[in-house]
Amino acid sequence: MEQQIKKGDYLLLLPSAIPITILFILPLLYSLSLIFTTPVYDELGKEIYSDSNYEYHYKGEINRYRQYNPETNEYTGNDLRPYDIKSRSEIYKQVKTWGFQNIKTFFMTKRYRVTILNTFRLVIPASLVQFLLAFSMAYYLRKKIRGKFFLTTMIIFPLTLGSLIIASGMTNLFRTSGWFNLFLLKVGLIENPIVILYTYWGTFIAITIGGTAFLFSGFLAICEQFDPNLEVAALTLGANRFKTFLLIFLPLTMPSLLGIFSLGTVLMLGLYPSAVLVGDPVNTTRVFAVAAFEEFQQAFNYNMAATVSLVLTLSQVVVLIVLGRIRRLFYIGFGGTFK
Amino acid sequence: MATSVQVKNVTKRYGKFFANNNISLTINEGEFVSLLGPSGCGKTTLLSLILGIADVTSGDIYFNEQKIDDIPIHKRDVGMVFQNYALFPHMNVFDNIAFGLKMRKISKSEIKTRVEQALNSVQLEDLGKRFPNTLSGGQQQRVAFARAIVVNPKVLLLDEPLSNLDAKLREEMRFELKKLHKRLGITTIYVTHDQVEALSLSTRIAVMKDGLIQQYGTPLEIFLDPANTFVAGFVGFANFLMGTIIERQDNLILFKDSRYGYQLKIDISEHKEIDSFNLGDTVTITIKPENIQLLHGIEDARGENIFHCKVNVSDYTGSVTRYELNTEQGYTIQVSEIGYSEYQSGTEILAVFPTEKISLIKGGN
Repeated sequence: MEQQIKKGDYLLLLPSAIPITILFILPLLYSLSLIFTTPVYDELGKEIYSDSNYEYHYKGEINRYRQYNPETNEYTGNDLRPYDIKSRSEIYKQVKTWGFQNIKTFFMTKRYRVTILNTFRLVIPASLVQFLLAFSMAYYLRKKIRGKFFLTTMIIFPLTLGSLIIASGMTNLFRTSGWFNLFLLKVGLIENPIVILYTYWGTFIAITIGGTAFLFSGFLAICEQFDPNLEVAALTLGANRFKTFLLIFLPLTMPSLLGIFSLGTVLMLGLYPSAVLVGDPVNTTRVFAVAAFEEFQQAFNYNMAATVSLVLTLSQVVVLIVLGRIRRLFYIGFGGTFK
Repeated sequence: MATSVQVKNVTKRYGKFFANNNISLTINEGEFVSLLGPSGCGKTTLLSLILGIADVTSGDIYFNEQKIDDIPIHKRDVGMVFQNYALFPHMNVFDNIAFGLKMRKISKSEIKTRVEQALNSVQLEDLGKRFPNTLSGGQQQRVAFARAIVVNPKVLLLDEPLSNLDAKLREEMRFELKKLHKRLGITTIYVTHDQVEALSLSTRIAVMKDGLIQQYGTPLEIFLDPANTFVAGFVGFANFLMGTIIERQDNLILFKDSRYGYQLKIDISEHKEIDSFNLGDTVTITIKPENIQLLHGIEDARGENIFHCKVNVSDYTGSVTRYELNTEQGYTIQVSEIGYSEYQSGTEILAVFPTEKISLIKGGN
């Protein structure tokens, strides 16, 4: 039975609509406005400010902004010191132009452009590895077995740590004199310590630890809810364990698994701490968030920071669409029983 | 050719709990055997042992003299219909039924003919393209049957397949199941807690409790001659009285109840083991509620097995009216009268146990 929605019912949305507007939509609009504006610079490479009557141009040798009248095209005698402008930015607005300049810059400049490639080079293999690890463990642990609670807790445990603690733990474990290398040296598998920290693999391992725990926590519930009768039915009909998995279990759980998987992958696209702490953020692990943070905190170029974030968001949308398409190839419904 | 099933001394233990305790059961070719019992009696465990999803703790199971304990489930050739049907929701009806045939690598054209035949036999000719979630409960049930029988399994296992249907449909499906079994002749094992289903469908019934088989026999044997009070109670007997045989004349027994001191005459000429009842034996008598006669308005009734009672509760359930009566001594009698009758609670009434309707069970509890 479909219930009719009455006019007044939309008021029920208000408690969520208001915070969403304040916390999400307004900042989004602001960041869009940042993306499509570019500051105008003078010949010395300094920003130009304006108080709607005059422009203020930087005067290199005496470190002042000269007042300039665009209508008469003349400099007047009144100069401002840089901090006068910064402290009174409500009056002295930065002169900007609207357009696609930032986006163009992003794709024309190598140090921005590489973030796309770097992010996907990390996230795609890492998410596939996570999927396989989490799914195989969840599949194995879906039935009641001895020690299930302990194993489950151990696998989900990294979720409680957060990426900072995982990274600092890794710096101890994987450093050249850490347990990992000491063990391999002692066993004789290697002659020189393996360098994992501050490379691509450092970040790869860090996000895999956290990501596997995240996926597993969702996958386990999906695998547990799967009606075991369906598997037994397939077995009695002559399908062996592998065929039962392939023809019954996998296609019926895949849509739900992909749902969790998209969430995990989208979250991973915005990775930052592990890329900086155990990765190589100037080179192979220079991902979206690294570049965005650099523009925001070091270069104070909010426009560019917003642009990098936009590309990040668009990548997330693309991933969601692709995974959604894949998901639609399967039967979408409840893999449990319908009584 | 149909398959026989032998269960020999099978025990299944979960920790300290015996789900099946040294069970032996022989099921002949083409038989329809029900495992009947309350939940937790071990009937489903026995089914899963035969099916192969659980391993026996000790004992063996044979199909036609061939031991099957080591044969993996997908090679046992056992058909199964589940309580929740367990149809594959991502396949249409045709593919569901064809699944087993595809696993057996049968040619496409033969699959098509056989699936169509199976659909015909369960009267679902036009539903091949439909998906399970668009079918009614009864239709899903038929698909589940078709899927199980299309591969000609050696043994067909049915786990309470009718319990999710409404009362009317359940009766319909029961008749169809009976016809289907008659036509196909597959050895069938049916798990149920519903005595009516078991009695109407089975060639033999194994009544189970606490992991043990209490009685194994034809429906008539169990219905007329229950082996113990549990079986009697489960197939609808009530009004148990325990006591001793104080007199015996040919097939007439005089029974004295040890609790209230009632004396009852019992005709045992229908009883299977007439000669095994001797003077002084401890026995339990029981009678079905529908076999008790009620007499109202007769002041000085004379005759055998008459109880003076008061109506305690009456309950009209459509086809019968059930009464709970109390005697002065505190004996509670369950009576069912066919149709509607109206004795208010508190009414004084006579209950008569006809001599030939009383069943006699050896021993007390």
